[in-house]
Parts: sequence; C-alpha cells; structure tokens
Amino acid sequence: MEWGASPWDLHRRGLQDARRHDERVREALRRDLPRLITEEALITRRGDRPIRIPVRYLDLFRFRYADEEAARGVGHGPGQEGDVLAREERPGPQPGDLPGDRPGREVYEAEFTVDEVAALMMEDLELPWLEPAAAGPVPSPAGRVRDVQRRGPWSNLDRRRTLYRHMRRRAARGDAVPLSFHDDDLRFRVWAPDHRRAAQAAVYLLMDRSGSMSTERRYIAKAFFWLVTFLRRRYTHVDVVFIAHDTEAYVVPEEQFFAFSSSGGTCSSSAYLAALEHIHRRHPPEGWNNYAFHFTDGENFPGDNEKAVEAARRLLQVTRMVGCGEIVYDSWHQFQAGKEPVVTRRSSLFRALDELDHPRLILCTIGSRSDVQRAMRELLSVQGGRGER
Amino acid sequence: MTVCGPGGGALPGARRMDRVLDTARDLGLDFFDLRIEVVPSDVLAQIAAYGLPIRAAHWSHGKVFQRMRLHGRMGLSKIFELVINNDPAYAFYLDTNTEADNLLLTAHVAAHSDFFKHNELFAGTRRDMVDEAARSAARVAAYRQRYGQERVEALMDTAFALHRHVDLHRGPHRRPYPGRRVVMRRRPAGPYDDLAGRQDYSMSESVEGDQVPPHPERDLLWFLSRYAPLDDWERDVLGIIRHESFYFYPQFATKIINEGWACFWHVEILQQHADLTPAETLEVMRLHAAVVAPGPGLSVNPYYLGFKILQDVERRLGREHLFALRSAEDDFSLIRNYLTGELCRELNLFAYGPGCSLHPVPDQRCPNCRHIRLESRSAGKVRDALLAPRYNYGVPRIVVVDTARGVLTLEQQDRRQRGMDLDYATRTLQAMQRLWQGPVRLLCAGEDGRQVTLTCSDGGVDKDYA
Repeated sequence: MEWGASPWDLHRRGLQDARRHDERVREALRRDLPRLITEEALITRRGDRPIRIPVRYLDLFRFRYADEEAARGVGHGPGQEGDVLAREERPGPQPGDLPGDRPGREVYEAEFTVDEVAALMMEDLELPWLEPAAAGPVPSPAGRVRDVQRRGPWSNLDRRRTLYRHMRRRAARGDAVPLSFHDDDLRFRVWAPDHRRAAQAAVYLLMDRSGSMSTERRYIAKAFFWLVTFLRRRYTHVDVVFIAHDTEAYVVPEEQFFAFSSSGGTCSSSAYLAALEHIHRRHPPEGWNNYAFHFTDGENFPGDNEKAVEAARRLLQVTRMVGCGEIVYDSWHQFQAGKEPVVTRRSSLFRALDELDHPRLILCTIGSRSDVQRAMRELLSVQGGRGER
Repeated sequence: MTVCGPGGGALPGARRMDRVLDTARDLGLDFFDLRIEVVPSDVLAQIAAYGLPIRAAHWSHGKVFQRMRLHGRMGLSKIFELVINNDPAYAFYLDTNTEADNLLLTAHVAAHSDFFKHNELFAGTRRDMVDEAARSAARVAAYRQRYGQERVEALMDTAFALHRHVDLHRGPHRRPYPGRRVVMRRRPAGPYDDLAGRQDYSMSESVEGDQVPPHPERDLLWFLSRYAPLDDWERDVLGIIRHESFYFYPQFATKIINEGWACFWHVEILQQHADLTPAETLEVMRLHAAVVAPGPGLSVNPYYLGFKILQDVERRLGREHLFALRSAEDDFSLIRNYLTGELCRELNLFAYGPGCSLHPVPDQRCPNCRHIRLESRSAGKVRDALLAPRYNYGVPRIVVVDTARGVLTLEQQDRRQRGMDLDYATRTLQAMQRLWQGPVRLLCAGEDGRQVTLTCSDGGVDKDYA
C-alpha cells in the first residue's frame, strides 16, 4: 500500500458520517419541536437566513449504569476530606427525551433556516376545505406541451418522436444505414403556460392586542408567525390580511402586526366585523377560499359576547373555516415553565362560541408554551380529517 | 522507517528521526517497522475518531469526529500524533508540527509500538487490523448498497450498543456450544474409595448441552450472531464490530501505562539524543511539559499519571523492572501494584464524589446533591476511584442465562452493587428483541437499587419489580 500517495482531501468519511449524525439530530429535533417552537431566537429572524440552534450530540442506547454521569473520580491539588470542591451545573433530563435518541450532555450548534424548521413542523398540514375557486384563474408555474413542430430550440427536441420519424422514413426506403438523421426527422415540443385554475385563498389573522394580553402576546405572535411562514411555504397564492384589535379593529401591515404593543379593553366583535367588511370588499366568497384565525385570551367585554357570536356566525357564512385559539393559563410563571394549568378555565366568549356548534368553527386552547404546535395542528390538520363540509 | 511528508514528498528531518529510532533500539526498545505519514488536522481528527484509518461508516464515528474537529478549532485540544497497533506501525503526524516536535513524537511513537509488540494484553490482537478493517468497511458499504441504509444502520446501532459486552477471556474465536449428549461418568462408590485403593465404581448418567447457554454467557454479540435467527450478512456485521471491539480493548485497558511508557521514553531518548540546538531543546521541553501537564483539578491526565508512576518505579526498582512491567501489566495491575501511598501524597491525589450520601431520587435533589466533595486521600480510595470506570470494559456485567421457550433471558450480575439506567436498558432490549425475534428479558437493578425484571416483547415493555 503506497501511503504517501493517498490523496487525503478525498477522505471524507468523517464528514459523511458527521452529516449522518446531523440528520439523526434533526430527526430527534422533530420530536422536540413543541419546545423549540417558542424559542425566542427563532421568531426574531425571518426568511431563509440561517439560525443557529444549540442541539445536543446524540447518545447511542446501550447498557449503562444509572450513576454513570455522576461526578466521581480522581483529582489532584490541595484540600481536605469533606471539602466542597465544586458545584455540579447540569440540566436534568427533559421530559419526553428518549434514550438512544436522547440528547447527550454536550452541546453543539446546528444551523437551520426558519423555512426548514417550518417545514419540519408543518409537513402534513393543509388549509382545510380548500376548493378551486370560480373567479380569477391563476397561472400555475408548471407548463404543458401544447404542440409539436419541425423547428425549435434544441433544448425542446422531442427525442422519441424524432427517432420514430427517423425509423419510419428508413423503413419506407428500406434503408439499412442506421441512425442517419435528416432535418425532416426532427420534432420539437412547444410549451404553453398552463392556465388551470388554482385555488385562491385569503387568510385573515386576527390578534387580540388588548391590555390583558400583555405578556403572552409574544407567544401568540409566535403562533401567528409560524402560521404565516407555513402559508407562504405551502401556497403560492395566498393573501394574508392582518387585523389587530382591542375594542376597535384595524387592518395593519405585517411588520406592525408582529411589533405592536397596546392596551385597552377587548371587543372581539370589532375584529370579526372588520374581517367581514374586508372580505366583502376584497375577497368575495364566490371567488375566494377565506379563512380567519383569531387568537385571544378570551377576556372579552361581557356585553360584547352576543355581538361577537353574531358576527362570527356571519363570518362563517363567507369563510371556509374560522379558527379560534384561546390562551388559558393560571399564572405567567406557569405558562413560562411550560406546565399544565391546574384549572382549565374557558372564558365566557369561548363558551358562547362553543354553543354555536358549527362544524367549521374550530376552537382550541393553548395552556402552555408547548401547546402552540398542538394548536396549530388542530387548526390545520389534514383535510377531511375532521367533520364534514 | 518510511516517512511521507505532505503530498508524498520527503519530510525535513527524516534523517534525524532515523537517528532517534537508532537510539531507541540501542536503549532496548523493540518496535514494528514504522510508516510515518504527515497529514492535515482534519485527517488526524478523522483517524482518531475512527480509531483506524479506514473503518466501516457509522454516524457515531461522525459524531466523535465532529466534536474533535470542533475542539481542535477552538483550541481546546490538539492532536500531534497518532499511532496504530499494526505491523507495520502506521503513525500519523500533524502537518503543522515543527521538526523538533517530530523528533519527540518519533521517540514517543516508537515506545508505543514497542508496547503494542510486547505487552501481554496485545498478544492476541490482529497486527493486520488496518487492512482488515478496510476490507470490512468495503463489505459494510456493499451491504448498505444492497440492503439499504436504514437496515444496516439499525443493525450497527445495536452492535455498537453491545460491542463492549464480549468475553475478553475466551477471546474472539469461539466454537458453538456442544450439542445435546448423554454423558456416562464412572464414580467411586464411597467418598474416599479411590484413595483407599478400592475398585468399587458406580455409573452416573447426565445429559449435557440441553440448555443454551450451558454457562452464563458474557459475549452477547457472539451469542446473538450465533444463536439469533439472522442472515449471513447480519452475522458478518456483528462479527466485524465484535472483532474490532477485541482489537480495541487492550488500548482501553492500558491507557495510563501505555502513555506513561511512551512519555518516559521520549524524555529518555531525547536526553541521549545530543544534536538538538538550544532552541529546539526548549521547544521539545515545552511540548513535553504540555503533554504531561497534570490537567485540571478534577481530573488526572493519564499521560502525567503513567509518566510519574514509571519514573517512580525506575527510581525504586531499576530499569530492568520497567521492561518486565511493560510486558506484564495493564492499568489495573499498574495502579494496584505501583501507585503507592507515597506517590499519591507526592502527586496530591484525592478521590472525589457527590456530596450527598442519600440515594438521589430523580427530580428531587437536595442542595448537597449538586456539591462535589473531596472524599478521601487514602491510596486505596484513589486507586478504586481511578479504576472504577474501567472494569469490565466500563459496562455493567450482563450475561445470557437462559433461552428456554424462546425467551432470551439476561441478568445483570453486579446488580447488588450498582443500578442501571432503565430507559437506556429498555431501548437496548428492544433493539436486541428485533434481532432475537422473540421476547427478551433482563433481571437488573434500577436507578434506586431495587431489583426489576424488564421484559420486551412484541406487545411492548413490561417492568416488574421483585
């Protein structure tokens, strides 16, 4: 074996296996997403710029002692028996960690893009009850073959037809010389843009930005953020309308929607009415699949409930679906810690909405940070999975 | 000696390295023919991560490689050299080493190779492992092509989970258990009849080979590859990983003595080797000081410990004794026989452990649980603490005790001493069950020391406390 000549640049086993390890980490990460989805760092970045997420090396399952990681060993230096030498700083195991795919103690940083995380999270989600709408055909990016001609760019050469022509000509002449193409043999495809009707959808995002929503609003914003990321990824033609409300509702630009802070009471009806008005003006239900998603803590002004339910009923007539997410929590600290609330309250607004009992009105509750992903799945589970149209 | 510089050219200082090797021979070292290759740091990290220049691909190697490369780049650790237990001995040097560095490393590598060649523990290791592992890697790559990444990887995961559960005393080459047979034995009728010269015998009849295994079996990988319903390629993959495990065990069990031996000799040889310039001497001494630095307070650098012990042995018992020790001892016997109380005091060694004496209940830890306390300075405690993580290849003693009615029954033999991580154990059993294609059961102790029987079958996992 001639060692000196071995081109070390070609030794990429380490990199290949490191990449495989990376893939396995990603698979493990997918299970870890409910926790990851509310991480601060994620929402502050946009688009396909990479974000660095600390992940832990995978530890292969094996037979091991329970106290394997206990701080035990031999050291050197001054000190007497019984002296405290150090304090152990290490996080305990996370709930839901699986050994074998359980992250080890050591951390390295993996690069992901927001799009990648969104893709991991929303793989099998879809807007429910989506239909090809009547008005406004939208060109879909794929084309189709319209015609075949004798002249055209070489990149459009139709090899099959050309060969067929060639064989026919040869057969007719009884010519034995193989593959002597003539200009007459050549056939070229002609492409045309496909004007099939694609589904048109408009999504209304309604956010409660009242005073009672001061702290957890960030997490709602996060849920919305993922929703928007998902919609943009999944559908090429989706109009997203952002509506923020307290006692009054405003259609706001996207940046403001995520950056807004405010105070005041809550009248959910205002948001529903604003959405209704906008739908009639811009996205009439004959041509559009309309969706409305509303996130609130449900602390609605009691006198407004009746009005809100009525507005929701009207909204349902012009939309495919209305989704309402309610933040339920006992204390902020509990919410922060991701613990389940001790008492699950349902607010008066949600009880009232529940009485509507409409198959396309989806209510869900968010009791902890890790619930955000579950809520998203409830709102956007695969078509036909729930109820009939 | 064959030296290849970067890109295959000659390495500056090759002639001086040859002289270092001559000095080593004069001093009594006897090593395999050396093939030295100068490589970039990523390649060195790669060989270090895999343990061999070419080895079957697996993500766990990639993980180690990634970590080493990261540590190297952040300056946390630097690998200067690496030598493979093989005939010829392949040594890899970092391409940024200076000429003086390489002289020291050459002496170091020669001593390692001498150790590989003469230590009793290495006597059974394959000396053509570099080629053998490359051939195995090619076979595994072919299996990957043929049976798919998922299947091969899942099998390798299981094999690596069990690869330290081999029977080191029976060795890598095993025969299957004898088949079922009836054995007739002649027995003296009375207890001392044979001594008294009486010729009364009775015949006893016993059946052997009825039970698989006939004795508690420690070599789990061998047992599975022999007795589980596997395809030939699956047996081959298990066999490859098992053989590599036997190859690596002596290195695992001689870390301290082997490094001590190499450090002892690189100092010795460079002292004899007179033609260093003053600047080079300083450079070499600086490198030596870094290599045998004691390490951070809560750990002991094995290079340092081995070096100090061997120096102490030479001082007390003479150099001849050192050569005997290099052939006969491993880390266990070195620490037990030669880490004296005086040396422990001189090196300021102590054993430490968790500050809480109560059994830690998961999720409920007192403030003391997080404290790390100096436990003892007695030589006995220090020796125990040094060796504790090395016994039995560092894994719990798991044996196969029975396979009656198709149930693979395992037992943790040291369950009265230490409990096992039950989550990990369950996952491992599930993986074993897929190979065994029948229920797998393990009697062991849990985190809290209570005995528990884990049973994995198609129906799921069952936890049964005794």
